[in-house]
Amino acid sequence: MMDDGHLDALLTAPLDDVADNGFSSRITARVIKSQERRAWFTMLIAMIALCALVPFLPLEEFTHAMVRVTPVIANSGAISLALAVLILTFMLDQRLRE
Amino acid sequence: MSTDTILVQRARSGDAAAFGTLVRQQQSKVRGFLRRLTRADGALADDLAQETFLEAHRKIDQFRGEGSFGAWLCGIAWSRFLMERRKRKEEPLEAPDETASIDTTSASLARLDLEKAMAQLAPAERAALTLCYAFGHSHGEAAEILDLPLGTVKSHVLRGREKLKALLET
Repeated sequence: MMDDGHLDALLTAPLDDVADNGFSSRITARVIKSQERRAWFTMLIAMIALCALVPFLPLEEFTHAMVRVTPVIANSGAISLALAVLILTFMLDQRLRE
Repeated sequence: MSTDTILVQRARSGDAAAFGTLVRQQQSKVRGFLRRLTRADGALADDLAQETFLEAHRKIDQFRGEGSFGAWLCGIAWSRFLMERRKRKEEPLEAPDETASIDTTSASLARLDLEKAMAQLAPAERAALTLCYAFGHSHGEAAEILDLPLGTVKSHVLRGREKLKALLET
């Protein structure tokens, strides 16, 4: 005769452990793949949106502004120095990462 | 703040490694639960577990942190199992199958008997008993996980216990 205590003991015993055997790695790999796919898709949508917007952008005004600003930037010592520091920092960061 | 909550927050912000850690922590519970639901069909249980974790990743913003992450996963696993069962149109919820086959490799004799008897219960009874006994959830938590009224879960537990008792005595 099966009493309640015995049945409770059987039922409350934890389930057998299931060995991972690469299961978690497979899931993580699929998650990373889907994130990459989503990132590509977002970028594609952004590019398409940008292409669709190009005819409506004030490109002529932008070109005129660039023509005015470019010599100022090119002749500025402070901006050149800032750019050099930025490039050197980036290169150093890449080195440290390696 | 619990480790689970921190990992969930990191996973939400796109950290795949954090989600990987959550999977490693919960895979045994989810796969064990699904193995019991599928009556030890390891391949089907693992397919469903994989779908469960991928759905959890997609819907991780919906996890409100009211219960444990493991309990939330069990809810997804249960709905995945029900979808699969509907697709296969087999094993009706309230009419148990008498011809269950069990993987017996590492089970003790008592556990083997329990699993054999468990396999003859209706899926909802199996799920309710597993959640309330093996996982230690309250009837209320189990009701939330299974998306069933509290009274229904209580009667599944009661009926499941009675059936198990009868099966284990024979």
